[in-house]
Amino acid sequence: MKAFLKKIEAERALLSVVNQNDRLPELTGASLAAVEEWCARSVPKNIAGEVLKLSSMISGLAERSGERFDERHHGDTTRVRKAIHALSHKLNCREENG
Amino acid sequence: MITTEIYIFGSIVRCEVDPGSDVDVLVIAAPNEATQFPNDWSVYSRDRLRSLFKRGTLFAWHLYCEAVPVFIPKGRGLLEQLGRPAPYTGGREEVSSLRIVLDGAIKELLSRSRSPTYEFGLLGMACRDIAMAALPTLQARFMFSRVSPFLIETPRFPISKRIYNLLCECRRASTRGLRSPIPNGSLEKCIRRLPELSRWAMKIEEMLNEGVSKKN
Repeated sequence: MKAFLKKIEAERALLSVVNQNDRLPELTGASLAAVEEWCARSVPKNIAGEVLKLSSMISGLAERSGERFDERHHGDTTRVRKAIHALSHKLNCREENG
Repeated sequence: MITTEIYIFGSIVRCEVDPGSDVDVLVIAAPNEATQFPNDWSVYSRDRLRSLFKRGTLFAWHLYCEAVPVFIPKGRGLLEQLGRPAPYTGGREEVSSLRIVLDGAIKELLSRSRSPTYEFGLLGMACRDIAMAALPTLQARFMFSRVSPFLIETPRFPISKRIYNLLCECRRASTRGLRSPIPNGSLEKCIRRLPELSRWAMKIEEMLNEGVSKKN
């Protein structure tokens, strides 16, 4: 369960970075399916690529089976945090540069 | 020689299919075959399933109650061989962890999160799973239905079926990539009920704790 809670924390962090940017459509989740749907909605390619990469990293943090808690992954949360931070920086730079 | 077994479980087996339902698939495969299946299938090794049944986890009970074999290469499938899982004793711990998820989503929503679909989805998932984890202790039955929160007699689930269905749609949007189902203002009522939802979950946890201390 601990890993699942960490995964939620990472998903929330990613979503908060993306969704605070008013120019981007709402990202509804960090799953591959949610990110792919979001990418298809005129999201700049470089940003889409970064978010897809993060989605894959976050999915490695924990796993649920049939939506039941049954975690077996213990991925690297530090790496995910750093990548989210880098994305945030990139999005902010875009914002400043118009 | 093929050893892979395939089962289905979940809403399709319970005859609760609606347009948003997916098909839950369990694959029991050798470790070297585990990556050959779609990402949204649950792929397990035989040893891992044995261990889950031995520990009596909720997932093991879910499979025991619902899994229907679709492909068994030869003889009796593993689930039939495993039989009944060990008694489920993880309800209290699971509800306690799910309350962290629930209260986290409530906190985010009350502070006007910029990711409302995600947070409402977490809320729906946490309510459903709290009920599923509590029902075996509170009412001596397993129930893996989406509507399980409404099956708890006391305390009564404080939100309507219409709002709850919207929460479930939010979860589907978060996990399966559907468009956000939140029409403007449709979940405002739910936001007003958030403190009641938190109390509902707290009451369930208290009842589970009381149940355990009575047993001891």
